[in-house]
Amino acid sequence: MTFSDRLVGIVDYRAGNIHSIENAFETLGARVTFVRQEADIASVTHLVLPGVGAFGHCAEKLQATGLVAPLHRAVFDERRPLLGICVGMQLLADHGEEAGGHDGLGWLGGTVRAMTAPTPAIRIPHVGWNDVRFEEDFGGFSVGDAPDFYFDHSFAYREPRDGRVIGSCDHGGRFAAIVGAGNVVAVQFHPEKSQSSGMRFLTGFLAM
Amino acid sequence: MLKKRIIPKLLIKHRALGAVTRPVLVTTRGYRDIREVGDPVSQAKIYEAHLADELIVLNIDGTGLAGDETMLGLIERLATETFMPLAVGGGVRSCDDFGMLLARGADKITINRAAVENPALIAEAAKRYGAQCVVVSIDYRTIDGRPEVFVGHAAEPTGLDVLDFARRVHDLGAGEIVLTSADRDGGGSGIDLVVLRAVADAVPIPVIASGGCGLASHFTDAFLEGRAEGVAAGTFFCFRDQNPMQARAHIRNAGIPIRMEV
Amino acid sequence: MKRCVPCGLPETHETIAFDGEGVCNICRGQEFRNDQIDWDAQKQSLDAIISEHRGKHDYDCIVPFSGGKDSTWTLYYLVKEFGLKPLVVRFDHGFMRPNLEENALKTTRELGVDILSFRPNWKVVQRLMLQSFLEKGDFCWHCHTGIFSYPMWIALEKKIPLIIWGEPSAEYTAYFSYDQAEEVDEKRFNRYINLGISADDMFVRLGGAVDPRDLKPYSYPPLRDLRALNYRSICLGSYVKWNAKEQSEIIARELGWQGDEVENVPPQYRYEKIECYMQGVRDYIKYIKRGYSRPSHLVALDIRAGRMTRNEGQHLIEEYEGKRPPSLDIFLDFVGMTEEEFLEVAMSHQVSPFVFEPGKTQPGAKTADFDQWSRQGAMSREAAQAVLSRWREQQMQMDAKTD
Repeated sequence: MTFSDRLVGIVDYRAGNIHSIENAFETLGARVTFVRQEADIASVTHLVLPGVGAFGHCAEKLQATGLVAPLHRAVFDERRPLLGICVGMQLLADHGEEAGGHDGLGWLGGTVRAMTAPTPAIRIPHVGWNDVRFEEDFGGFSVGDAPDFYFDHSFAYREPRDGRVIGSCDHGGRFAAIVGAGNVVAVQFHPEKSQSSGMRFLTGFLAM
Repeated sequence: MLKKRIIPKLLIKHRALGAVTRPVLVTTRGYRDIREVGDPVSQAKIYEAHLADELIVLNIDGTGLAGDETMLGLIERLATETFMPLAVGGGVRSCDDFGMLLARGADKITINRAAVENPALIAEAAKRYGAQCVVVSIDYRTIDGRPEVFVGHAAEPTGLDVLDFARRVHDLGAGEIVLTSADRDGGGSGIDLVVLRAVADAVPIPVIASGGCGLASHFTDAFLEGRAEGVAAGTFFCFRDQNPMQARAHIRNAGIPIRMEV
Repeated sequence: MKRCVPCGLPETHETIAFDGEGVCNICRGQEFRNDQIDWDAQKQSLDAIISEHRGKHDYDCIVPFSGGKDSTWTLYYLVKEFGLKPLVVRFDHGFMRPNLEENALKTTRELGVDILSFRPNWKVVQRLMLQSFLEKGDFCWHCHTGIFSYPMWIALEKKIPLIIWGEPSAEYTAYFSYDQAEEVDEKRFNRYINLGISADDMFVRLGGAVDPRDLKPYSYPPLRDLRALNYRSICLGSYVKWNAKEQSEIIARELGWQGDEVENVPPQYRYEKIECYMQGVRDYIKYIKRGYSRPSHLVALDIRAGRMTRNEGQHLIEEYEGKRPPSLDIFLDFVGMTEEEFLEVAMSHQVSPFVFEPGKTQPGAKTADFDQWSRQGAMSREAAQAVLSRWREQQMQMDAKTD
């Protein structure tokens, strides 16, 4: 399958590692552009919301771009596929508890809560490669597959209100690693850093 | 289940070649003897082919990061030419430095001297970027039986006890600690398991062991006895008939969970 | 040392991992290869790849060739089964044995093919052998990299996009598995071939001792140039089920290909590793580092093919493995080292948990063609000593104890 007709718009709100994501999609054969203002959304076929940093800091930066409403239209009215990555996934929640609490976009509902360590063997932040158990088929993976992806986070998305858990992961308790609702899919791990598993997952997103 | 990590360490020096400055990859022994071993981008690609779990990239020239386009350009090249999680450090002094490196493609930032001289930076960076972006790199030497924190390429003593300092940086908000025995650096005689275990037991955050790998069994010791979450190695992969795929098989055979994808 | 229950390979074998039943990943890979792959479908894929390229360029494909059993059978198969017009490309490492040269001549005359051969600068080769032996415990860096890079440069130069190699690495190690396409590309070069050192890295490590152009035959061409050519570099063994023993019987019968005795290898294995007169030294170094060598490897292959039991193999291993090869004297001349220095270097690369005991080594027998192996071009002691001293200064202390 060729993806040369896909134009991936990566939202650049100065809070994400956009180069690696760009690299990944270009390697898969898609074209990539950066979304910094509303006009950039026009010809994009797929949207990516990255996120590296503290929840509140990222939420503020995103609001400051003025892109939230146009993105909402593109995703929910025009139904363009959206991929949220790491904090970009968390921002889709109603609320994040990090650093005293901050509102999210509320597009998938739910809450982002601190991860806890039931035993000393579990360390927070959750950093490294962990297996994601697929509850449904997605992105070339089937129900029951449990490939490893790279995680680096201290907060996790709890049961989204409007979405379903496509893949879960266990670190001191199971949490949502992949959530989805319609044309929105969001991942806690970094597919652009997860080598072959990540590339396979991104292929699934491009196929949407 | 979370896997343990094999983390090749890339030490970078700036080398002037005529009018051009380029980054070269080096290894060290005791933080002093420096040996050039290759091109950083070439080596990163090789480690990526070997499915290393992440990379630590450290500028050991001691120069500040702001305005260091050689280093920033290197990070950008690594982020665009490989798909490796990158922890980057060397000369990071301020929150803006964090932002600069993250923007160029780093996933995590390590600080060393700054953690000692300006510990408030840990809290500030953790607040803005999240603890998962903040890695404190603790170098130590054992003086009169006590592990003491050293800075400046492990040449300057600080008088700080390693355990106390580890607890302190965690309290301030660090997400991970890289613990390096400067005495054992590049020596191949094994990781210092006693101090490693003490630090790992003292903090609830991941500890990455570094300094002294000479055999694959040193990795397994660090994971089992030392309770490390990751082992960083520089010299080991450069100068032995070894690579991350061989090391991980050895680790797996010891019953330790590690990524075995091909 | 822990060993695979069926095949006996020890835990020091590169990438070997044992599952819950004590079976190694390479044995499991063979099971997958035998039971799970639709070889008819694979053959059809190969047919498609070949028709895509046939007749469109000066040659239908490049076949990298040494004259050993694998490349000979690959060439034979492509010419006889597909009637292809290949360009045979041979990287001559400098240690070809007389019988092997005879085989190569016979094969290429019998099959009727053009052959291009390249032998690199010996002085550069010597320097590379010494450097890679010191730093990686494997003196064959020039050969590993040259064999896999040089044909790619020819592909670019002559605009021949299809390159067909022999067996996939998944036959012998777990750097790749049979359930994935093992393309013979730069990723594989970095993962499996170049000992973790690219030509750029080697240039830095040599500290300016060679002209950068001297390393071109060992460097992998830029990906963008290969992509512009629309290159496709594949293992025949990904599309046709590999059977080395049977294949060597076919080429013996059809081409008059002849096996040879190899230092410290049981005589029934006359089809394996007959190309290079440094093979004995390679195998000996492997034994010093890892505690097993060619006989164990060959017995493991026979066990997996159902031709032998572990017990039967054990006798062969005990009788032939770990002996000092006569060719070591030639190697020592080439790199200007004494045997004590050689052992010091080899032992510094030990793979845990094996520990080599030098005093126990038995001498191995010479092969019949030993006196025909050229000793031309010894390295001066002074030159070698300079490199060795530099290595010793940077050498890691090997006072580590093993389990």
